[in-house]
Amino acid sequence: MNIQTTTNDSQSTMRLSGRFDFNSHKVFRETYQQLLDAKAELIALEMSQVDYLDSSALGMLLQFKEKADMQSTRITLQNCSQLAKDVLAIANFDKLFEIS
Amino acid sequence: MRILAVDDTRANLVLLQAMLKRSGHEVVTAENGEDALEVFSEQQPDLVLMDVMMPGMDGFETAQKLQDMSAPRWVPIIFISAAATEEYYIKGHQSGGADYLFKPINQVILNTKIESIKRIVDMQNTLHSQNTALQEYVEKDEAERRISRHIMEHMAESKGLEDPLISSMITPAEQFSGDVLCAARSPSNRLYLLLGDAVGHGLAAAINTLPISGTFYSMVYKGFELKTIAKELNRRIKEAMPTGCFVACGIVMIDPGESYAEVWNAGLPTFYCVDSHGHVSDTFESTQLPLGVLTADQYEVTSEIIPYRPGHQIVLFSDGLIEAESGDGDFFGIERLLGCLHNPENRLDDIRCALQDFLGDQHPHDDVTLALVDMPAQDVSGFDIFNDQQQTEILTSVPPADSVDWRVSFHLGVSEVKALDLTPMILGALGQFKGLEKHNQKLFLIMAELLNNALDHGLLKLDSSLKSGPDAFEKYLAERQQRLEELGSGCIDITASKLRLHDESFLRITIEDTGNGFNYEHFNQPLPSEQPVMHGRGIKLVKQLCRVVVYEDRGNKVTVDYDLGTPDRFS
Repeated sequence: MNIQTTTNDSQSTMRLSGRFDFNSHKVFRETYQQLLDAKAELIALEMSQVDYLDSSALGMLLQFKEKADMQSTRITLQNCSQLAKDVLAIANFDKLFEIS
Repeated sequence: MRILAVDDTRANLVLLQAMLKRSGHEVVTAENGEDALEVFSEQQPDLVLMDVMMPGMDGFETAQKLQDMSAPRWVPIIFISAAATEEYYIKGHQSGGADYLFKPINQVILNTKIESIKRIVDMQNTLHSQNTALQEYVEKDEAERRISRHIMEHMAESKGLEDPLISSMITPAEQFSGDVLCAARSPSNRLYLLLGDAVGHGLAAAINTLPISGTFYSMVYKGFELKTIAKELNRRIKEAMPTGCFVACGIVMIDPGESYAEVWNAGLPTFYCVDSHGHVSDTFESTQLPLGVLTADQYEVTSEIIPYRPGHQIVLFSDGLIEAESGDGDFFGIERLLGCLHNPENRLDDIRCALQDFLGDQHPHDDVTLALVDMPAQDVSGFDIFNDQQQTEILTSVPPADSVDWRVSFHLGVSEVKALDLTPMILGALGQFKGLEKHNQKLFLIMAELLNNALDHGLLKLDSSLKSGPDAFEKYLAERQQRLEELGSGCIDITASKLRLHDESFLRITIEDTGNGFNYEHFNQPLPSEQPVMHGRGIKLVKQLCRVVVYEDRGNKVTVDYDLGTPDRFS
């Protein structure tokens, strides 16, 4: 998976593309950690280019959320593909994340 | 370095030895090919300097034998020759030589060549020790995996899956399965089946499932409700596992006695209830977050209840099944799965074959688990407690006893009645007394019946006629749920004691509620034998299992005596 980051003021966007699975663990964690260290207030995950999402990706989202919650950073999941929406819906992650 | 110098001319050997020693090497010598092999195996030198022209075995042949002898390790050999021909040069390399030196030997060139060989030797040594370390690691890893698998297989008892109502398959993607499937019967003969799918697959995922099976079995055996079990599973996973490790989980409960099924799905693909033609009658979508995401106080369990549908089957599976990918990148998918259900006798095999045809020589990349749970037209589980007819005395007052071994009592107020899973809690406490374990199932049935009566008909004032008619039990449970939430006052008192009369011991249970009671005058009637048990086994069951049943006051107080003295024929 590739991640491109853009930051405007205190809002950051992580543009994810490719397969979001266990192999993305390192790059995903390092990227969000940098943004959290830079005290981003809102981090938007741009999901339109994600063509696969598995349960380990959901696990990574939970870890991300735990870290973000500790410093009150908001997370949104934007432009989810139908597949991503389905996976998130089965796990009922809409109860934890803002998803659009 | 330790260097073996081989030359049949003593003068050359002395000269070579002097040059090597000057450069700080340790030297061993041999004057012909045969000697060289012997000295080599004794001294294990790092490098060989070999004269080509020797009587008997020449340098090329000796080199070849040295290499064969030392295989798979490669021995660096530098040939020394007066003949500087192309043919010799090539032959030298072909016999396994590393380099070639021409006489007269130049000290600087000799040193340079030895240095460059040394680099290769060092590399070879590093590689060798890394290989050894890797080999040890692989062996250790295999041993640990063997042990882990043994532990997992023994922790996950699979006996319950042999239940005649269940057919199932588990195909792990790796050595370990991150899917877990367990089934067990409760003391009141309800069938519980659990399917769990931990994040990822392999050993890490399998470890995630470990807290599940133990908790599930012990709680089902003790008779806890589905929701209580689900809540406890979530607590165990959340406490034991790091953030990001969660388990999608579902439980199907079939109660043939009370004629209903309860289903809970937290993060698994939709379950289907299908009739004998494979038509879908009910679907059970995932309504909740998987286990291990929310803390215990955040996690509320909601389940769905359907009436018992004779001849139907509930189909549940992990996402590994519908996401199994063919060589062309297609998913197996729901449609294909639902297309395999038209033959109720053979569904598991039909699905298995369809999946094999679909995958061809591909292997599924995730664990594939599938379970089918029957709701048969007739309960085939062989629940034989009903055959245990005994003469019950219906008395108007509680008979006397000679002595008391022990007595305990519970007083349960409104909030306890609302929050607790009463029967397993009280049975769990009584189970601490010696001698009751083997009666556990029957005592559970008696206690569950008496407590349900006290709560449903006493405190909640539900009329059992509500249970009559198709789909009525669902409505009954919904009504019960609502009244329980609204309940503002009332309590239940329970006393249990072990008594003796004429050297026979028995357990006396008295339950009194604050409800209105009922008219028990007509109660002293023989059991109607031909009337089928439709909903609930009711008080008839209690009469079958206890030797004394006494109603008192306005019918809000009941005492039963259960015989502990006779051997238990059915356990």
